[in-house]
Formats: sequence, structure tokens, C-alpha cells
Amino acid sequence: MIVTDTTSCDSDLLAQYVKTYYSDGWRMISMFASESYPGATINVLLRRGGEIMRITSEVVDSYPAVAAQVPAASLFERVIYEMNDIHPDGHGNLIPAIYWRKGDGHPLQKRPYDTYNEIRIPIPNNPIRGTGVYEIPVGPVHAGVIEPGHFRFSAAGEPILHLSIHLGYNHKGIEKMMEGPVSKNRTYLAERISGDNAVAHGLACAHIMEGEAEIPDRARRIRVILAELERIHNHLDIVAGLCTDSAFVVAAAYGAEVREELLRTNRRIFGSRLLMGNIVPGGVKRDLSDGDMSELESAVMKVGFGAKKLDGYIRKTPSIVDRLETTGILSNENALRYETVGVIARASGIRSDVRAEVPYDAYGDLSFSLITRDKGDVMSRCAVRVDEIAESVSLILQCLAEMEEGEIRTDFKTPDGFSCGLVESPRGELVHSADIRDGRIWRYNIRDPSFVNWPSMETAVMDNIVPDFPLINKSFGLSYSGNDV
Amino acid sequence: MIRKSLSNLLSFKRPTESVEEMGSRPLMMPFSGGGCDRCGKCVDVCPVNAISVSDEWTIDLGKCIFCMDCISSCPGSVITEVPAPLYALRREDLIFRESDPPRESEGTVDAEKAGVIGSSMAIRELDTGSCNACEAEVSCISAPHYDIGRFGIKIVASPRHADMLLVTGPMTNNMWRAALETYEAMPAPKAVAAMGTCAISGGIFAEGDVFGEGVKDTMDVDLFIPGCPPPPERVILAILKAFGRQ
Repeated sequence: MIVTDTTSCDSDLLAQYVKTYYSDGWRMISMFASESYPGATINVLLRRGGEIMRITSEVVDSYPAVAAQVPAASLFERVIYEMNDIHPDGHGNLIPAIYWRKGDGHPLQKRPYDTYNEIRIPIPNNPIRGTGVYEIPVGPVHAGVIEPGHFRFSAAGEPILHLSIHLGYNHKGIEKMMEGPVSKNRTYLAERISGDNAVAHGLACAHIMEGEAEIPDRARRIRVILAELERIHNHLDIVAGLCTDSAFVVAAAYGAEVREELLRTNRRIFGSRLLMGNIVPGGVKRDLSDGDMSELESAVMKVGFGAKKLDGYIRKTPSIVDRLETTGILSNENALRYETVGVIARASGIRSDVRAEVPYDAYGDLSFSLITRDKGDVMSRCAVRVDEIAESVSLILQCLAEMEEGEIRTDFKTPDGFSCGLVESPRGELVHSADIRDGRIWRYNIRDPSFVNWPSMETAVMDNIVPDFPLINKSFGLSYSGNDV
Repeated sequence: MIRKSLSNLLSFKRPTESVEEMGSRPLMMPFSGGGCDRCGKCVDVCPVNAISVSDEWTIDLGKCIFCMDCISSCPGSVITEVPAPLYALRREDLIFRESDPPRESEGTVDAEKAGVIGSSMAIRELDTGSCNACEAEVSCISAPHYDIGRFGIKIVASPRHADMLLVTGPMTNNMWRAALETYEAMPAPKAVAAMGTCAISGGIFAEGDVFGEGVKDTMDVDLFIPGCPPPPERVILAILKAFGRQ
């Protein structure tokens, strides 16, 4: 997807520029530095509905922080500081976001550096003090089967007064690995940015590599089927996980059963339980036979029924409803302020969905409704997920019904210049962007929906009791690996 | 109403599988059974450099991500899908040549460990930077289809309770200290299983910001379980077999 509009400005005016666009209804979707030693280009990507705007600004080693005017830039600028060693002046909160080792190594600098300096920056204590206030550090190795991350709760008795989230344990340097000649196939690596969102990440990467190439209709429909299958298994996992975390093991077992049936269908038809390796630039890898299509049709209908039944179990059990309702409220105001995306935003009453706003692949030809709730509590997020499963089932059935014979792959040429791929992953708006110069990917930026959604959890847990944190965390369903890349 | 819904739910037939049923779904890996003219096309397409043709056709299953691009790229169609071994006890046992084809896994881990922790095992899952696909699969092994509890195996919350560390992920630089502390917190005798391609060799992230080549460079690994990610039944079967339970 090529960006609709590009403007450039002086680095002193960047913050003012972004702020002006913000008052016009634009929203920041990504921000990163692309180095060309000496100096670098700061790229700010903004979106308003279906339009995407890129603001560039040349900087040397520091510039006035955008975060001072537009808080949404804060996290992005912390990463720019760590990865590229460009100092945002007046930022005010440059604590490590994902990369902690200080010294010569700023991993995304083009300037060569020798060795890593192994000085760990200590994680700061919470700033809350007072009689009866204590701090609970959790992680990086958690109690469950879950990815590593460090949480610090300040609590007085049971209610949480403050939570700070420190991630980065999963940082693998994927953005750096993505660089290189465009001929290399990167979708396998992109899929492993966050393995349970493999299709979404693969699609975003494929959209960049394909440029303006016309993808055959059959491939576009198979891509939608893959993306929606992925959405179903992610949502089912989280709804079943909510039952586990609220000790409703019977429903949790039922949810796991429904999900497992779907994963086995995935494996039979697409060769991978988590649908890995199916998206390739230019189309899809496997074609669907008539037998596959009828099997898929009955499988997703069964899953849709199972999800409804699972929802029924939750709603008919007052003790669980009591636990889920009014827990972990993310108000509409806070959801807007933290610029959340995806399910979390929709459960707080924000109508935003990339599939509807910037349709990609076959989504433009299909009809589906946008699910929202306004309460913003765990129950709302659960309800949005359950209803989205039904929508996904309908989308898959629409694709299967109108599937036409044809090619599933086409030739493509990756154009030079700047391009970005927007996808609605099961977690929300996912943005990949690439700066391609002379047939080489010069800088590849990955912005997983988790990256912008994590800070909003710090406000959603406020005043909830510590034992409800796992429930709230599960209802957000964020990726650690996608955040840390 | 609750009672009705619960009884309705419990009447649902639990499809827990027997060991034989679980073993009936092999994981397929690419392998050249012979006749390779060493043109090198598969080496070029392999995204993880798992294949080498310099001497004879060789594949390192510990690096393979099972994309099967080598099969579609092979001009002579000599590379085919064969069942992959369940596990290996040494890293070099995962390297297969035309003259040394993959066989069914055999042997058990250290006799003392197998004897002491084999019959009732507490597993601590440790993510050292995986893409979370392995976590998605590990969380399935206690679900009704697999129900690892019936073998006396359970997933525990603390390394202090654990007999075995099930490690996933390529061991990132940011995580390796915490991983080592987790390992040291376990009581002896302790076993370590490296699950998935990343944990075995670093896999697709080997050139990234990771420590060494897989988990074996940080701690002693007793059991390697290949797959990207390994399906849940293979994790269960590998553990059962490697600890002499089958």
C-alpha cells in the first residue's frame, strides 16, 4: 500500500506539524527513524479513515520531542532513542522501553559498532510511597504458560494503586533482520513476529513486498479465509482463557475443545495448526480443493455454534458474570487518550477497524458489521470477541460461496520508495512500513497493535484488586513478542 | 438454570485421545532419499540455512521451520516428505544425511533423571523470547483432547516445584539472565527440554539479538523436541518416550 500523501518539515516544527494534523482528526499509527549516516529521517505516519499521511523530517542527533505536544508519540520516541540514539529533547520520560543495554550498541544505527556493552539499566521502582503501600514485582517468568514481561504493582491492601509494565525480554532484533535485498522472502520471519497472529503479520509484509501488483481474486479470498480463521482461534483462546482465569474450568475445557477442533481442521487443510507458511508475496501457497472447501464450511459453522454455546455458559453463570462485569474498565475517554486499537478500542465504544476503513485483499467485496460495546470492562471485551467470531464465520462462508476458479499466485515487483502494509490483526490495527532504497530494504518498521495497547492497561487495572489482574491481562490479550519485536 | 447448563456441558463427550491416536499424526519433514545431484536450489530458498549440499545432501532438523519450500524448489523432485523423529537426546542427532536418514527416536535421558522424575513430573514452561506459537501449543497440552494430567504430568507455576524446564524461544540477550536464574532455582535432579526450532538452534532468529545458538549454550539440555511449533501431541509423546514411560 502506497502512502496517500507525504510532507516534510523542519525538525523544529515537527511537533507543531503533528499537532496541527491531530486537531484535524488524524491519528498517529507509527513513528520511527530511518538512518542514513550521518543523520536520519524521522517518519511519522498518520491515518484518518482511509487516508494515510507521512511526515518526514531530517534530524542529526536530536530534535524537539513530539511527545511534548502529542502524548501518543511518547512510546515511539523512547524506542527511537534506544534504537537509533537520536535524542528527543524535552521528552521527559526516556526510561527504557524494549532495549536496555546502554553503550555503543544502538541496534538500528547504520554506523557500525563493535560490541554490546553489558550494562543493564535497572528497572525503576514505582513512585508511590506511603503507609501501607507495598510493591509487588512480578515476572519476567510468570506463573502460567505465558510470555515474559515484568510488572510492578503498587497496592494498599488489595486494590492496585499503580501498575508499571516493563517489557523487552522478547526483543530479538527482527526489524534489523528484515533489512536486505528485496528478493529475499521475508514472510516466514514476519509470521514469527507474533506466532498466533502469523497470517496478519505475513499479510502486512506481503502487502509491502507486492507493491501495486494485482493479486488474483481466488488468492485474495483465500487470504481473507486465513485471516478470519486466525481471528476465530485467537478470540476463542481468549474467551476460554477468561474462563480459566476466573476458575470456571468446565467452560474453559469446552472452549479449548472447540478451539482444538478448529486447529486440527487448519492442520488438515492448510498444513499448519497456526496457519504458518500460507501467505507468500504475490498470493497464497496452498489452493483449496472442493473437498477442502466443504470441510471448512462445516468446520467453521460448528465452531460458530460452539462459540455461541460457550458464550451462553458464561452468561448463564451469575458468579462469572459478576466477576467479569465492571472489572478492568477502560473508559471511552481513556481509550481515546491512549489511542488504543482493535478489540480493546471497540469494547470501549470506538468504531475503528482497518478492514472497514482501508479495505485490503477481498474485504472490500464482503459485508460484515463492526462490533462495538461501550462499557469497556472485561465482559465487553469478551462480548466483542464472541460477536466477532460470528462475523468471521459469516465472512468465511461468504468467501467460500463466491470462490471462483483461478490462479493463486502472481508475479510482482517490489517498488522502491516508502510503502506500508495495514492489516486488522486479531489484536487490532497492525502496521508494517518499509523504506526501500535501490532494491534493498533500508529500514523496516513493525508496529504491532500490542505496542500501542499495552500502556492503556496501566489505567484499566487502576482500583481493581490484584487477583483480577490476570483476568484483565487476558481480556486485553496482548502479545509480548509483537511488542518487543 | 446453572445446574441445567452444567449438566448439559458435562454430557458432552470428551474426545481425549489414546497414545496410539496421538502417534497417528506424524510431523512431516523434508528429506532427500537419494538421487540428489546437488544443484543447490534448495539451499538458496531455505530461509534458515538448514540444508547443505557441499558434501552430500544434509538437513539440520534443529534449524528447519517446516516451510517445505525446498520440496517445491527441487527440480528433480527428489526431496519428499518423510516422518520426522519425535525427539533427540543430543543436538547432533538432529542432523540427517542421505546416507543417514531419519529414524524413529529411541533411548531415554540420563537413567537417574528418568528414574527419579519420570513417573510423576512437574513441568515449568519457560519462554526465552519465542514468537508465542510454542506457548499456544503448550497451553493445549492440558486441554481435554490431550489432558497431560492423566500421565501424572502437570504444568506448575514455580521453578521451585519443577522437575523439568520446557524451554521455548531462541534465548534472547534480554532474557538469558532470568532464564539462568529460573534454571538455578529448580531442585536437583532437574531436566531441561528444548521445545521448537528456536530453542534448539536459534532457528529463524539465529542472526538476531540472541545469546548463542539456542538454549544449549545457556544450560544443559536433555531433550530436543523439533517442530516449528511442535504440535501438542508430539510434546507429550516425546516426554513420555524419553523418560521411559512408553
